[in-house]
Amino acid sequence: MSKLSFAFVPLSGCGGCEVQVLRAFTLHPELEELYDIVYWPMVVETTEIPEKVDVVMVEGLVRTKENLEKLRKARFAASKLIVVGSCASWSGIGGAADALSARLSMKAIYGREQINEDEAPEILPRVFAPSDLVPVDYIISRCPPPVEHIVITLKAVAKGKPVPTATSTVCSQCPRKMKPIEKLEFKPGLPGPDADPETCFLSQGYLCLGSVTTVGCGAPCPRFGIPCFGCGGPHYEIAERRDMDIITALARKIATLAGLDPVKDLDIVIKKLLEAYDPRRFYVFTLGSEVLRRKPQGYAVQAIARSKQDPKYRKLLEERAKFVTEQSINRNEE
Amino acid sequence: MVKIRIDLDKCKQCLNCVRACTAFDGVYDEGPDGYPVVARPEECVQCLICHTVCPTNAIIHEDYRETVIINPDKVIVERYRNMI
Ligand code: SF4
Ligand code: SF4
Ligand code: SF4
Ligand code: SF4
Ligand code: SF4
Repeated sequence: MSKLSFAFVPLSGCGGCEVQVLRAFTLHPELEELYDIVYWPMVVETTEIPEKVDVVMVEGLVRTKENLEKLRKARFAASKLIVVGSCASWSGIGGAADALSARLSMKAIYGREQINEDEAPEILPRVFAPSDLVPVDYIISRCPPPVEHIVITLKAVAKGKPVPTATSTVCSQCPRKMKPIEKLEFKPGLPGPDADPETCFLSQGYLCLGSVTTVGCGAPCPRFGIPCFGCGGPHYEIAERRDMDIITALARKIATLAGLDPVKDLDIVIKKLLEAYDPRRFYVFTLGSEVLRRKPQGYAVQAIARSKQDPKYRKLLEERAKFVTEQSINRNEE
Repeated sequence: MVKIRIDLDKCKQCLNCVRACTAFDGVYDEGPDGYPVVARPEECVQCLICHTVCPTNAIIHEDYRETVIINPDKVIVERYRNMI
């Protein structure tokens, strides 16, 4: 069997997914018999994406014009385009950038609102998840995705077989026992040492996104005492159906656990959830995703608007910007 | 009649399905082992609320209602032909 060509295109990500794909190739040498790496800045010396590539993997967000150009090239070149990681699939952690003013953030980090074009690529006014901009063939979500998922996908694609898809949620792999909620009251913040290690976080009044997040990680976070923050991305029904959003789907499950009506009492539960938690808490890994921003209830958009107007964040950024500017003035004087 | 299956590998025994079922008598009962059982499938009105409240998507409705869109073109054509 002839080898397929393989390219890895890193956009604005942290490189974590890239390392996971590299680990997949290292731990499973049989992959090298299936794929020929033709472009991957970290691994081979080619500087341009070839015109035709069989399988292209993309990591990270589209944050700059250069990212956009690269993504376009990758899509034109690829027979199969696979996005890896929460960033490329659902905007990931970086999606939260839109909750702050881009110009102020630039000032807080670099001391100026815009960097000259010859120094750095031009920044786009908002972030985009690659899967919202171009058609993709497969999504391997999570921050970062487990090596196994990468290996299974690459092997199936090489053999022309369908890739197994996830239908359940993180809860199905979580060992914690779900019990009815006695009193509907949410505790803000993270569970401390007094939380029961064997009972579901929802049953104890803590927020956990396990029941609305795609299965596949083995639920490491709830196993070690941290609620799921949803890095796997929303469950496929939430992504597909316009009447479902992360917060509404979660509220229906919580309402039923608390013995309320999942339809009639939905608003009560949502109100209580939003009183206890910042709306961004429900979109930690999905705030930049068009899929969630376009939901008719608009909770993700409201979360962005609320953060942008929040004087607390503004003040923090302004203080930091002042600090950075003073530093750069001092440096220039030296 | 619709066939309802519960994937016990996924089920968390939370019994949300028992609590939320909108059928008159309720389709599910709590079984002796703590898992829900499909006791009265004939009652099911196929509202799928149980899918929405299940935290693990463990419930599967087989032979779920299908939407049939009839194509009335021919009939309409017939009718107008007769009128002319
Ligand atoms: S998904 Fe996570 S690991 Fe991957 S690039 Fe984004 S932040 Fe890094
Ligand atoms: S909601 Fe969280 S703690 Fe509860 S079962 Fe699901 S993953 Fe586990
Ligand atoms: S439990 Fe949730 S946050 Fe933790 S790895 Fe799994 S999907 Fe990500
Ligand atoms: S709602 Fe789902 S997880 Fe809970 S008992 Fe019913 S089938 Fe099991
Ligand atoms: S579809 Fe509706 S009526 Fe049927 S079992 Fe589920 S909740 Fe009950």
